[in-house]
Amino acid sequence: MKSKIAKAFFVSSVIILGLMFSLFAGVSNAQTKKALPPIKIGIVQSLSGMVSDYALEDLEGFRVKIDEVNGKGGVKTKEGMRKIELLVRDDMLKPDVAVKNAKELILERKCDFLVGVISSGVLLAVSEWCKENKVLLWGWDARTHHATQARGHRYLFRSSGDTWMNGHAAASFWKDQPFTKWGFINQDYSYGRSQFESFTIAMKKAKPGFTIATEQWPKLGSTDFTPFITALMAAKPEVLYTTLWGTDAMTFIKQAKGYGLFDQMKVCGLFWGMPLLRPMGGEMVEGVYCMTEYPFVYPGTPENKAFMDAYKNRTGKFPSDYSVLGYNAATFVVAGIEKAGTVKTEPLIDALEGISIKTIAPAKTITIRKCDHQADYGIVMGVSKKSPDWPWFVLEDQVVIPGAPTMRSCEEIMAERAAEKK
Amino acid sequence: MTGWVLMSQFLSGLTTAMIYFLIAAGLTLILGVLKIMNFAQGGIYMLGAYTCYTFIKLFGGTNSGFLLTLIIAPIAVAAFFSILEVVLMRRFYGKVPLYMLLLTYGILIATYDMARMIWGWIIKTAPMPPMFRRTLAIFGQPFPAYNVFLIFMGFFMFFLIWFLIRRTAWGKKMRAAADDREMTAALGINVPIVFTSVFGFGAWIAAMGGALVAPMAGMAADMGIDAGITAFIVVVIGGLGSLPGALLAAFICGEVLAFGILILPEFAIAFMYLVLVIVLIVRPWGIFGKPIIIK
Repeated sequence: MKSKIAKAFFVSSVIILGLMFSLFAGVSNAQTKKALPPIKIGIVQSLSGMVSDYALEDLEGFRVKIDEVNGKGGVKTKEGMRKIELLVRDDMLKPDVAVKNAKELILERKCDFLVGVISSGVLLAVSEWCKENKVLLWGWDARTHHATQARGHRYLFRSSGDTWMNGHAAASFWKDQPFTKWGFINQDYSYGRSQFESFTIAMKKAKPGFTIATEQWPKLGSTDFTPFITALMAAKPEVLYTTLWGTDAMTFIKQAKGYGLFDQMKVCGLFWGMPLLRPMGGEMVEGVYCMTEYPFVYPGTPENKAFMDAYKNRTGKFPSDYSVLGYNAATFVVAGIEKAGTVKTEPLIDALEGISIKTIAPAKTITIRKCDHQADYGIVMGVSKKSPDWPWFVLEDQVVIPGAPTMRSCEEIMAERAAEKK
Repeated sequence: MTGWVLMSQFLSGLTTAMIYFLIAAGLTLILGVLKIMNFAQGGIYMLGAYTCYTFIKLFGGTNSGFLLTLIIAPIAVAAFFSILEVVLMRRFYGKVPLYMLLLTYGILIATYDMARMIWGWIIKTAPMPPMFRRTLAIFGQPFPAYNVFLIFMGFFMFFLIWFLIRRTAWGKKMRAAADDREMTAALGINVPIVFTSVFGFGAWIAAMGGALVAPMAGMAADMGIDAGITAFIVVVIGGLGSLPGALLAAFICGEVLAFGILILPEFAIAFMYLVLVIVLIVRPWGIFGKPIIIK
């Protein structure tokens, strides 16, 4: 008996709830019918797998900007104000899945263009598909320099830095320091290898007497770095340069700290900003040279404060480098649509070439270079230090390294593309 | 390169070996007794690390808090997986092995999502207990205090498992059930309970491995997948189901890596697989394994 009453109550409440929802849905539908159809942006991103934490931060940063724009009624186009709608797909870090997603978003869901991609392998694959099908792809995070250099094309843009710029930025700082004997530890896969290449190419050019004392190549996702640490210490380099990221960087730092590696040599880590400093908390080491695109604590602007508040409201967390990458990408895309007055691919691309935006990162402004569609995003070098204000370490003595001088010249890139075609 | 540097490298290799062993020991035990290739082992290891993180934080990162964590966290994880064994795995013993493979793989994926639901999406690391925050000098070479503890714990776990299997009544029942389920049941031993206890014990070992690694490494929800592969390789090299085999295989893999990277740092990624390939060619059943005779 009891259960019958409970069941009847349950069924009726479900029906009532359903009715209420459909009513609300009806109201909101009626409102949008008057307005222009929204601009549809397809997002291809690796929301599961190793990089998913960072991938979500890219996306949340992007959403902060889109919410801001939609809150003001949308983007101004020739036809009038249009809101922006996001269609998000997970590529699971697999290039083939990403291409499938891209096809679905463009051909079935009729998205106007694509944004996203955190993995280099995925970027190269999706970029190839977009080139063949003349679809605009905006890369916000994946960093292989081959994407915009040898394999670049009209339909691909990228608002983050690339591996070439990262290595050259690091070299432009270290060439003026009195150290020539270097050690390296990078993960043994394409990203680690190309970061190593670009830094050593730049240093060999810029620093006379530059020597490699040792290079270590642990695999991606190692549980243990101890043998690598003792091998590094045995080679006695003056500076250790590393592009380890994620849990690998954390494991390395904790274990190297136990060995006293940080007392024996200087250490410079690429992208050891918020994504590393926050989870490390008090376990980080002082005096490490950390490179980051968004040092989080710096003499910020009102825009920076506004972004931090909006992001915190949305996610309950402070933003990191990745959040800003997403935010930058959205800022670029919105600026491009406003400039072109349309989302039609060809005029939009023409509008985006050479476009500049203001960013909340210390780079201040970023410009998309016309020849290769690569942004001249700058980077910051800072030294890790305990902070009384934050539960994690912050970066002091920050030096902003502008992006433009670290880019490869247009002539070299075009020559490489021509050679690739043959 | 002096002898002391080589000594230091040897000790590093030993640390690596102990981590490999801690990951692999539970897998080889479950494989030996239950005849299950437990893919979920990596997930259990990961949950052990995360649970350890939570308890260390709860106890305020003190020394005694850490030691208490090492007792509580693995037992909590093992209890959870013992229940899972009763609810899920019991249905599949003696059926087509493929079902069990799919089930354990499913559990692995479920643990991944579980970790993300409980601990959120930011990578973590457990604070190092204060008593291990120093560097010892062994033969004039620096060596972290925690690594000494880890190596000690590795050997301790080995002898504990060995003792429980070889010298206790429970161990005898377990070995009997592994050899012949029906005969053991006919003798009045409650085989399902023995199996549950073995699975729980295997989970406890993996969770202990995770808990021991937590203060010296970064954690992410997918750390178990890589650990699972490592464990599998170590178990195959050592011989399926052999505990001394797992220890020896872990030792070989750790030391080959440690000395290999001094000579050929470019090939760090390949050393473990190289050992695997050589063993599979020379002794396909593993170092301490027995050749499988197909009847």
